Amino acid sequence: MSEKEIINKIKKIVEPYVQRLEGLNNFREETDFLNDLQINSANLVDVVLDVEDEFNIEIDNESMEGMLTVGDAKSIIQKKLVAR
Amino acid sequence: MIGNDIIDLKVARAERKSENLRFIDKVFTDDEKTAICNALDPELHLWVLWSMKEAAYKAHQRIYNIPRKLNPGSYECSYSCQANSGIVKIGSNEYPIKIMIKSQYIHSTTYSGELIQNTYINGKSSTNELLSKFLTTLSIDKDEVELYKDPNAIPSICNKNSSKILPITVSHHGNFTAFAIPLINS
Repeated sequence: MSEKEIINKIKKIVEPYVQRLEGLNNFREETDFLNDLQINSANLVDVVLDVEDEFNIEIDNESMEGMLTVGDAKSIIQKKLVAR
Repeated sequence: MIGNDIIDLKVARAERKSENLRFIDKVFTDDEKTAICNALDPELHLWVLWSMKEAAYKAHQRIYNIPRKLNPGSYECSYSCQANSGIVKIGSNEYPIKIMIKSQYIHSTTYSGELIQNTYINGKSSTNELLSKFLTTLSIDKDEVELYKDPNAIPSICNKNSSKILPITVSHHGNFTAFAIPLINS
């Protein structure tokens, strides 16, 4: 799966939880789930669960800890896809 | 040490997290899971524990100046519903939490001394407008201060003239915004 495909999928996953819609206009690796998109932290756990479902991977607690930006999520997904 | 967290119960209850075992697994310790299961109102209990963790996390992050992390499962809550209070353990640190449960919201706060806190209904007001209201109740002129966030997104109030800095904690969820600030006699 290409990086672009992964990032597009992440965008689809986070959309329902975004409180600051302007943040979606410039959706890129640096986009911060909490600061730029204002996703609340309980919903960020939902994002982690939805990522697990979408990519059929398991995100352990250690990986979840650092999932704060689109780029973080992308790297974790890539790593888990390789290890699958 | 200061931290708070507000939960809009209308928004929170709609998520039915107490039925979502995968969410519970990621967020709560075994003891907390048991407590949620056995509670008369599991959904309310779950959100009380969540708000305790969030309040403690904010205080912990401020004290140790640590970068943001999503690791709610490593904070251990003990909660007494009779006393409306509890303790959150983060490593060797213990944070005492006061919990206010109203029909529409939960507000958890932690602080080592006296705290002034208030909860507002958002309506159409921005966080800044609500902050002005809150500061007015403390006889602080909003024009004389600035809300400053450090690189870890931890907020403080800075006085533009005197460079005096007051820690503040802010939380919003759904239709509610809550602020808490230490009571300091100046």
